[in-house]
Amino acid sequence: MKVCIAGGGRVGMYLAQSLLSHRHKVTIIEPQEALCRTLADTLDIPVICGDSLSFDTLRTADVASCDAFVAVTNTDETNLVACQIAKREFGVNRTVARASNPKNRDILHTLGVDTVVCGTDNLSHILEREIETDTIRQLLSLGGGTASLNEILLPEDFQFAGKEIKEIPIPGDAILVSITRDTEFIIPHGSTVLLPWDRLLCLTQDDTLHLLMDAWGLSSHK
Amino acid sequence: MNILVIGCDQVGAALIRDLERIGHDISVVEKDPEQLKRLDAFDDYTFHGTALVGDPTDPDTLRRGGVENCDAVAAVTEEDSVNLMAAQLAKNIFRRDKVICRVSDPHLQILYHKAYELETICPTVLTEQSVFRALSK
Repeated sequence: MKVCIAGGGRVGMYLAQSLLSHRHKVTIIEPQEALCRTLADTLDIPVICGDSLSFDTLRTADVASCDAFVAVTNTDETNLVACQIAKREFGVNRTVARASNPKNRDILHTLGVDTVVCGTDNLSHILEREIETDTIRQLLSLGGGTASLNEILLPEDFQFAGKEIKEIPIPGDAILVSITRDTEFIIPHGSTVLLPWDRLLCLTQDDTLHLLMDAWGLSSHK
Repeated sequence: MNILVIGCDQVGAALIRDLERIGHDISVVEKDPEQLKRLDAFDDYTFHGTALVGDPTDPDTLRRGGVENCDAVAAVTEEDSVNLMAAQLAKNIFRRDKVICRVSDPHLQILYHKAYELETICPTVLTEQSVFRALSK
């Protein structure tokens, strides 16, 4: 696949490396000359020094021949406009933009960007979870960062200890996938009893996880 | 009319002055507080509207600037990308009918006028035409 990346900062550079290692063809557009030189020295790919909103630059980068266009500069408006130009002027099928402001994630999508990735959002969710409590650990981010598979360690004083799952409140969209109790692996049913020190695998929407933690008294800021 | 002006550089400040003079109610959003001082720098005019410092590409800033209740929006900062995003927020997210967008790059102006149906004004083209006319008299 041929991919053009607008923005040769840290994100752009690591993305390029990762795409190259998967044998994709990559071109980078970056306005800062010094950064362009570093990129050209580090990666063996075409680096176009210019403004990613300039039609001339985009033409030089041969954006029209790309299968995907990824805008990862640090300003949301540049990423939006660059993707819109790539799509409507150069006919690129798949556009991806980075949104720094989490509020812009849905907005950029509504305005026509195919995929919007919000690093701030994803990272702050993970950090929040790590800080909030050590009883929960995110194992896998799903649905573009809107859902996740989490491991929950039930504390010694778990308020529903000894109760069957069907008696325990599970707010919102959440599924208990499995329970690890010492060396025993359990697929839970309604009549399965939860005990302290159980490790639960739990699939949730991100907004549901908070509800679950609150309902189970697992939020650390009680 | 209630008009939301985005950007208060020389263009924005003069626009605000002229609009207030003919009786419109103005709210202005500008990222740089220094730029808002332009509104106090006119000899024969005092600003009576509402000024707000904030990022015009943030929907909440626009909301606080009154985008939901205004009759028209003018995105006239010096940066094309800021204007294009703010104008699209006003038009497509907040559903304002009258949205005017300043776009300096003529290529961008044509694209956004045609493909995204934005009402765009291109100072580059206007300047070129004025100079051309002045020279061909």
